[in-house]
Amino acid sequence: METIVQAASQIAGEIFGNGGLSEWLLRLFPFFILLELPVYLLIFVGVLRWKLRERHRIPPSRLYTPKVSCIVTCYSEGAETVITLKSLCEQLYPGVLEIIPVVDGASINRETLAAIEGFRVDPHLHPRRTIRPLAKWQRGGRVSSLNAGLHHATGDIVLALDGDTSFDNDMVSQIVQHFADPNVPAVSGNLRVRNRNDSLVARIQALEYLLSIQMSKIGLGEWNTINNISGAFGAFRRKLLTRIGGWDTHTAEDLDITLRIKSYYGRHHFRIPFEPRAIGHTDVPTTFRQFLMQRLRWDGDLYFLFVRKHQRNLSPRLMGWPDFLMTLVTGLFFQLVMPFLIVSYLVVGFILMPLSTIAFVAVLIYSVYFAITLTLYLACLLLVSERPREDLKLLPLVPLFPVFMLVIRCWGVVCTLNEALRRGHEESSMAPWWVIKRGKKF
Amino acid sequence: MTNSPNIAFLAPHTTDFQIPDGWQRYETVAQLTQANSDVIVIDLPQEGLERAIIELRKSIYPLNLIFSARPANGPLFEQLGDGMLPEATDAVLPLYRLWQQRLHSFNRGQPSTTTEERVLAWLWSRPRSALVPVRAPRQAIPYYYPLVDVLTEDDTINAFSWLQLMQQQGLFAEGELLDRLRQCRECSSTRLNYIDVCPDCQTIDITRQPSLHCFTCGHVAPQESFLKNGTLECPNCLTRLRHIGSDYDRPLENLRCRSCNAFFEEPLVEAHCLDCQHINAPEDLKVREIRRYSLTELGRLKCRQGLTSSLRDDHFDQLNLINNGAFRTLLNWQIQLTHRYKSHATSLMAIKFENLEAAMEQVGEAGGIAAIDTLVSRIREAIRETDRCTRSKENLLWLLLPNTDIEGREALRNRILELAQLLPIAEHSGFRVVVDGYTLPMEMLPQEDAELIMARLSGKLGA
Ligand SMILES: [Zn+2]
Ligand SMILES: [Zn+2]
Ligand SMILES: [Zn+2]
Repeated sequence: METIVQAASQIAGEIFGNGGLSEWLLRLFPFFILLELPVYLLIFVGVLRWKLRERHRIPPSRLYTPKVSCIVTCYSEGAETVITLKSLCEQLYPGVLEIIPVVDGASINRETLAAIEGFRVDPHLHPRRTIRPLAKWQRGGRVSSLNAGLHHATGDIVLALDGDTSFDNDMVSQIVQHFADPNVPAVSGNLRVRNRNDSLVARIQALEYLLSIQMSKIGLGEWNTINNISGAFGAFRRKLLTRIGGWDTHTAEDLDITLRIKSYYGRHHFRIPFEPRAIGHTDVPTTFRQFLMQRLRWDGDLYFLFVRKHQRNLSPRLMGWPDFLMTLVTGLFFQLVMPFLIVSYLVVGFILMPLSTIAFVAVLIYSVYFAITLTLYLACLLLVSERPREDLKLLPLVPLFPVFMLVIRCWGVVCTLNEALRRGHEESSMAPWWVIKRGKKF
Repeated sequence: MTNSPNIAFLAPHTTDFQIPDGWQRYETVAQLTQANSDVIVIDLPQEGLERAIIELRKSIYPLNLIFSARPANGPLFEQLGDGMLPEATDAVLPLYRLWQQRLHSFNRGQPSTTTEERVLAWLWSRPRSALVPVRAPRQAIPYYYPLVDVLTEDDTINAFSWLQLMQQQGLFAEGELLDRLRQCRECSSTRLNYIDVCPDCQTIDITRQPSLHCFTCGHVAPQESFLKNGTLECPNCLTRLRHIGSDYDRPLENLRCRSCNAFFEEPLVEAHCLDCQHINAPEDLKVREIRRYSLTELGRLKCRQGLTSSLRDDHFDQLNLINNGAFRTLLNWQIQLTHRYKSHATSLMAIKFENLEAAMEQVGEAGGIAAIDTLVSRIREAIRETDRCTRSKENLLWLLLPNTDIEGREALRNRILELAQLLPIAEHSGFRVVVDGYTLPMEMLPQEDAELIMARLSGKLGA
């Protein structure tokens, strides 16, 4: 114990003695924290504001009940899709629900197709639920499934859902209420990790979904700056979707459609709310390797979208200034530039700094991020979570979380480089090459 | 056989039909049934034709050729008639000859009187014919066999059971299956109402009631009791139920009895008879197959070789059986004679075959029949021309022996018992021949008539 104290004072002496505290801080302080802190603050205040509003919120209206179409994209989920369909039938939403499961590559995914075709809606138990399965015999990717579903959809509101995601029974009511406001073109739903008990990788992703996705979306949503409608779970006005031509066959649908709606946004007074009470439960990769491969695709798509495809749409004239700035900061800077800054800092730090300094800075950085994580986690548990008991079990993972985030950011650099150099999105596992080829070239 | 047939022509007052020479013209069925025609030609519209042909078949013309002078169709005429009159009326003659020949070769030329004989004769005389069921809409049993109905003098015969019996005897072959009926156990009606009832108390007042099952506390209740402000909340443990399969599920029991409040998944189904109100369990309903029937090879053989020796019911026919009524009349007459002439002695004897059925089953149909035939022919040899026989039950044979005293009666009794001993089936199973009798007037009670004395004797035999 004494030796540790001695060592610490020695290190402190080296740092503060040689040139003084301010100089060291200026030279060595990981400045990226300063760039991120305001965003976390914004999120935190946003969450508090949301909580205050939430307490005075009136329950979802029973008067506004438009017809809703649920497009469920299915691939090789097999019998698991039945859970999704069942959870949709069980919706307490008083309006009509049209469920359209679209089986992609039905000729090879026979099991999924059979499970869906064998699914029957009991008209006595669920009088206002209909199911109309679509089979796409050739594999065309998720986007083409969504567009096929959209083509057959007749509801005013269209939900884009995944076959491996099931939903709480008030999901539709919660998400649809936002559309009573004509200025809302789309609503983003909240995803939780269903298979969190499968592995450590799944558990830590459960925490990531709660903190990085749910909390930041609530917080930023309060300031009307949603950076992404989840691909697995989003709601749209059908008319608007049809007007912008549905989903683009080119790449990962979620970000793309968000950006296209946003570029529409500059000309109209639209807002895209995030509804944390509209909850879906999804499966995440359970092994570290699968997890990295999934992120390779996501982050590659991110680069592709911002840098290649939406270059021209990313202008304050089209999007309006606040949104443009927020997209610039959260989208471009935090997700594309930040990982590079952090990795460069680490590389430079390791070369220039003595080991003791590295250790000190590492502890410092870790402490800051741990504090942020813990604050967000507690806020989540106390203010947001609808299943606090279940989420409390993730507490032991909070100390691990900053390390996990660092790994993600380092991996983000790899992904972006991979995309920039190899145009990796064209090998995207979600859409085979012939679909990509038919799309526009950038 | 060389005589030309009497051809009757049945038509209303006016007919465009050119009636050939030699045909007899009739305007009503009643007139025709008074005559003695061989072939009948009917010139009536469909409905009148059908009505006439049914009447004729039930009258003295059960088997005769009946043609329609007009184009006729419909299952009833197809079954009961012989089709359109041939274009050339001369062609009737060869058809008649053929029919006559076949009928002559039927059952050694014996006249057909029973249902069996008539139906077999029909099928024999019309080689490619079959018994075809016809729909009877709005009836308790929606099919009937017109041919069996018209050829049966006894209305109480059940055509369906009779056909089944004939089929079991190997005379009829099952043809095309046309329908399968479910019938009331009590009254055989097919007018059934299948109704779902409570499996606990059998009341019909049941209702579909979606219910939920809370995973937290196991509470099961109707869905309405869980609904609260557009969300689901367990009324028992107040847990918010968000997700099917993880917070709650739907029990399969979603039917409720309004009478006893039971929850159940599957209702009990009962088949209520609309005719007799009997309540049948569906699995207890009688299942009846509606088929066509035709003659089997064996049936044809027996038609040719004679029915008596082969039909199981008729082993005793060689004894020149008379019917029960006639036998009783004769016995009463004999009783009166013994009252009048004291010297006159008459004996009544009963022969009972115990366990006949079981013995037949054991030795096989053919062996059993042969044995009975032997016994019957020996009995016939033992009795006199003036003796009379009847059968009151399957296994109970009666002999009226005029001018026979106790000694003569006993002699005959011993003779029959000896014969029975010789039967090859006598050693098998419980087969036994029991013989006993009374001799009048000595063994007669005062005021006793034929019916009473026969009852007393069958009581003594334990029959
Ligand atoms: Zn009951
Ligand atoms: Zn409960
Ligand atoms: Zn009945």
